[in-house]
Amino acid sequence: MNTHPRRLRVGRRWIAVCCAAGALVGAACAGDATLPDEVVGSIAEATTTPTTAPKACPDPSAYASMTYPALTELPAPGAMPDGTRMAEIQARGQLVVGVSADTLLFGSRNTLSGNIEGFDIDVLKTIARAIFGADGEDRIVYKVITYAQRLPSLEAGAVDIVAHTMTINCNRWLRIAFSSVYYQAGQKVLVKDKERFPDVFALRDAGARVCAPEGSTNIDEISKPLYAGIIVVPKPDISDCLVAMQQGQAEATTGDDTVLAGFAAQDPSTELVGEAFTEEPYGLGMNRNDVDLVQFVNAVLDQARTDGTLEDIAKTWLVDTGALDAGDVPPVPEPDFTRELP
Amino acid sequence: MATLTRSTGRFAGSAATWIRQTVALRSADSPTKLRLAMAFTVLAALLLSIAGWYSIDRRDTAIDDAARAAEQLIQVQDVRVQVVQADSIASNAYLVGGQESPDQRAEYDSRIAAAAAGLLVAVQGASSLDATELESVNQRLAVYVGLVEQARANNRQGFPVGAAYQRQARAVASVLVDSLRTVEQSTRQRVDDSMARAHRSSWSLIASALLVLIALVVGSWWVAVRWRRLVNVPLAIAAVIVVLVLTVGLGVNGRAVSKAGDAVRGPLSAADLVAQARAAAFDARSSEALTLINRGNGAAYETEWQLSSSIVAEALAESCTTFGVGCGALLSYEAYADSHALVRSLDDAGDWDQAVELATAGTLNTVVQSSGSNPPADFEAFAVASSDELVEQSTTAARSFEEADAPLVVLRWSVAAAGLVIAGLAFSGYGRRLREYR
Repeated sequence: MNTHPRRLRVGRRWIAVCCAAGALVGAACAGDATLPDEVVGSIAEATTTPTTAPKACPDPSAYASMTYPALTELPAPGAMPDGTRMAEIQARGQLVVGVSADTLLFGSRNTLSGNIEGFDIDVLKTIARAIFGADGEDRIVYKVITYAQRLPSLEAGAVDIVAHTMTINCNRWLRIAFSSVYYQAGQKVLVKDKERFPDVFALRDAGARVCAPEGSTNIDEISKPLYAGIIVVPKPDISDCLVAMQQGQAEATTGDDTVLAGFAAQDPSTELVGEAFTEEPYGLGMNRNDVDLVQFVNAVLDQARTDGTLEDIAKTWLVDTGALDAGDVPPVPEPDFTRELP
Repeated sequence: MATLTRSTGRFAGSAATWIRQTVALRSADSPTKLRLAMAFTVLAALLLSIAGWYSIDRRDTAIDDAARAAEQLIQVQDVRVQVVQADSIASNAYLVGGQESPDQRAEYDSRIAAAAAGLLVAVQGASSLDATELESVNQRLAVYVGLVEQARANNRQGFPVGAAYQRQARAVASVLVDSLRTVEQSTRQRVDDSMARAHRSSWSLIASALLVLIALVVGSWWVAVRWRRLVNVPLAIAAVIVVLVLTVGLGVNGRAVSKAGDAVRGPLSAADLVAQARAAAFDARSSEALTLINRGNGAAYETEWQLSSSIVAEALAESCTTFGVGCGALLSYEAYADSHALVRSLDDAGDWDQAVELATAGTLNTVVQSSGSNPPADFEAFAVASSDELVEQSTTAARSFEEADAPLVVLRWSVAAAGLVIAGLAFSGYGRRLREYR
């Protein structure tokens, strides 16, 4: 337990070094390491613009959570100001969103109704209602995307907003824009044998096989020297990791505690163990040029914080489903609106 | 060097002996010459009897092999279609979640059972290499069924991990189907090789018949000149029988190979094309379900749908234009493709619910109903039409092989008997002249 702060400091140093290098040479940090040429080009350009891209990340976590100020006054639903991205969405009559369909509790397909539901989906419905009015949630067009498609789909303009248990980090700010933090998650491990593997270090010391999704920040974290000894089992998707555990290909899976709580709900023989060893602040992703939409979304989220909507959503999906005890649900994170407008 | 000298010496010795015997034959008396001519002709006739029987038997066997390989090809293709069809049902069942109908479930079970039973039959008719491949298919089929069950169990409980199992199942099915394609390819090669063998197997009949004919013609001429007889009736009848054996035998033989070739180039090729179209069509139907499971983001599966669809269209167009087979199935598939386009346009426009309803139930609101689109019904029409065509062409191919084969059994024994009769006639013909010296 007392080793966690040290581990976090190590993690931050790595992120800081990575992001500083990224800002200087236009390269990407771990987790989104392979970028298309056109995206690398846009990052190189962005690094010369002090307002939209960081020159360096002296304190990556704090900097990452900084977002554009919320609109001081929310426009009435169905009356989005002309010339804004919200007006475009309103005129189109559809809010196109990128979501997960297999992350139980946050974004998953209800196999009986066929509907996609979860924490992220309810947050999106709140945004949609703020744009369109009471029928807003019927105007959402869901596009099921994978982890790897989250940033490219925003960059390509295929979706307006991504709500996909997406961690806000310095590197991703180079490519897209984020809302304020709406949920504070952390990376944990899910095991089948709690007695043998009470935490991630027991897995390390036993040389256990730990599954993680390819191209995720989770796999980067577990591949660090601190966890040398763990045999990393990469899988295309995090849900493949639960299958791998059930088929005996891995002793554990590492991922965000939110996702793993969903796994534990699907397989009672598995259990979340140990403390979170990273901080994973979740935010809604938007195109980096849609600054007005980010400000609007921030205002909606701020209102949801104030009127208890975010707390209710957390209760509905994390407590009422039995995934977490009420006391284990992290408090609704405070926003940081200190990012300078471009 | 010493060995070479010894060999050369032996050869020279043999040549000298042959020359002495030839000279001796030339100087031999007429009865001896007659006995020698009779012995040679009788032996040649017996050779015709054996070589003719062997030649026709080889052809018969080659056509049998081609028929068995054709039957095996249809069997293996049927297994592939059953597996792809089962996977299509599983994918569509996943789309409707816990609301899978008992009928759909029963249909899936029956497809898997048919595939497993078909595999058992196919293993028995396979070459050793193909049998090994088919055994691996059998093992993978068991794994596939297990994964689909896991997907179903999770799906029923509303657990999204079912999607991961479904993906794994599809990956296993894909490997399994590739193995079946490999076996199909090698079985097609077996059909071609057997037919080539059938074409090659007449030479011993022709050679032995010509040898007997030459012996009889030369013998008849010699007897006519030496004994001033216009016609030696037994030898003349024997010559006529040889000509009959040659003409009738080659004719029947040729017709048999031609009929078997027609079966390969006709109904078997048509059945092959229709079976390929069916497998690709069911694969397309699976891909359609996957485009919807990956709500709004099914571009990769839509590409697979397009690829499978182009295979269906090409195979059925060729079958229709070349053989006049599968034209109705092609029309049904085109109707389904139009309905699929509507499903995609609904999903792409964000009307996922309506897209799913259209793809699974076909009962939509009046606007969509007015378009006349009904993917399940259109696809079912294709499935029924193509299945009927496949059964008809497979049956026709099997019947053609049987018909090609049947006369060869009679011909084989007839040629063997003809050889014996010719031998008897040769004995009789030369025997008449010999009796004149007693």
